[in-house]
Amino acid sequence: MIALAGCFLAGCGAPAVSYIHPDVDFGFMERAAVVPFLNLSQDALAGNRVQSIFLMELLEEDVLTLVDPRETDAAMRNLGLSPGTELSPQQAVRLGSELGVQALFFGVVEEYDAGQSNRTRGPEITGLFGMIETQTGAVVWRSQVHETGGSIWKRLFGGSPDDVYTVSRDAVRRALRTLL
Amino acid sequence: MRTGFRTLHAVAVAAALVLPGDPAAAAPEAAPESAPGSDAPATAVIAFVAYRGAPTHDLHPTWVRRTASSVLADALAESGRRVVTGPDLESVLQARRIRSNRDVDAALVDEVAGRHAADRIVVATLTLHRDRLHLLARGLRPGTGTVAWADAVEEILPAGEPEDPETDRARFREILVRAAAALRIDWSVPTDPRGTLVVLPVRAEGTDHGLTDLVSSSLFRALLAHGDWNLPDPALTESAVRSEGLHPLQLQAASRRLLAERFEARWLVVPRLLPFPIPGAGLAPIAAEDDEPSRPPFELGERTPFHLSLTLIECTSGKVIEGAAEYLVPDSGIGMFGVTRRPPSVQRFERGVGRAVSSLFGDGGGNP
Repeated sequence: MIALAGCFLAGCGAPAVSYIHPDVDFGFMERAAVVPFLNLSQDALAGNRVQSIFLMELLEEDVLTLVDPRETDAAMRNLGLSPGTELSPQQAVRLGSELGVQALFFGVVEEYDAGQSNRTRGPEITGLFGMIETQTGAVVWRSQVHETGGSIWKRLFGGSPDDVYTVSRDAVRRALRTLL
Repeated sequence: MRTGFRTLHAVAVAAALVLPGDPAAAAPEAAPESAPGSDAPATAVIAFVAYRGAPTHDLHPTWVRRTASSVLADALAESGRRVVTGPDLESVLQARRIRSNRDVDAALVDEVAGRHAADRIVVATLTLHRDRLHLLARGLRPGTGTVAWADAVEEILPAGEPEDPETDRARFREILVRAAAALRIDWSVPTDPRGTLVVLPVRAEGTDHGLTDLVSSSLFRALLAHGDWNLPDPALTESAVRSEGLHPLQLQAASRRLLAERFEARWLVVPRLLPFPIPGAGLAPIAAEDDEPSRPPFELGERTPFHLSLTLIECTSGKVIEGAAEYLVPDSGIGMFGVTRRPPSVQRFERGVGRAVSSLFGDGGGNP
């Protein structure tokens, strides 16, 4: 009830829809990489922005050793994989082996509106985040979130919606909370 | 002269510009020459001019470049030291096709240091924006190959129509002198360096070189202020990576190993800068690789928010051992009584980068 009231006041999206593979031991995962995010929005930089925020939030959690995205990009190039495209299980296994990681984080920015279309509602982001374990290439975690910058409270009292950075960060945090 | 300059603006937007030995220069001021054969140690000043957007003034680029060299030479003059600049370096720059600060490499540093007995080299870039100038400079010690100091200064250019050329030149020179005098120069050698850090080039999507240079300068300044690191000069580290057929913007196990061995570096700092949409404005520009010359230029962006992230990487393992990010929100620019100001962009980046560096190493400036 309190959480619901908090949501009402602060402004937030619907709860994250998530899935965690029941038979995976996350304990053996020590090293991971974040691959470039797939961007389905009209904003050409949306994928890069959300990926950068995702990496920083993951580092903040301090649960896994991470490989820098530049090294991930270089490994993808070596394997002839285009950045920002979906990885097949075989490609994920090869990339995992090239980078020496047990897990690959991926993301899909499905909707990224910085608030241009509706200023009252503010920025809106819909994203899908996931993790692939690199032994089999199977997706072991997936979470879809939708986050907005406005709220009924803010609309009622004339407060300005959160900026797109805050909304992106909140979306990433909401997704990661379903895993970590 | 004026016609040619206007045309040049259109072509040279977002492109670093150096015109060595341009005969069309409008009576450029003679840059101070070195004293050949002198035993006094020398400071070499390599100056470049870059244009981003059409500035409001109307001055010949060669005159601007030579005046910048001359003003910097005056600002860097110290008793008992020679200052080498202008014609002495022109032939070397021409022969090596060095047109911007990004072209400065290990071979040029060696040649300038060897030929002119220069134990200090200053690489400066004067960037002219529509309404302001940025003077970015760094001091390099060729003996150790490390950056001694780095600084960026911003000056607002006078608005309005150009007056007669003499008045415009005098006014511009005055602004340059002020900018050069404001540079915080410190050649002191770290007494107890904490180790060696290699700073990789700023990866910036959707921005231009002017901003990445500014962030890079702020980053070197913040790192030097935050723990007396040995920071190999980017000209040398990038040359080393290129010499092995690797790309300096990319990071591979081979480049990590190379940097660790050649510069005895234990850590790498990897910066990334991303523009965010301006609230209420249109979509961000199309993403492009940083070194792709054909991409559309991004405005200086005094109203653009940026996300800056720094990762600290262990050279041997490649693992990210720390990360820090800052969302650089622009000054609203609206002052008292709703008067719109032109907020300084150098300060915003300097402060933001400083906060990110503090967060990366902790406030005590200790080792990671």
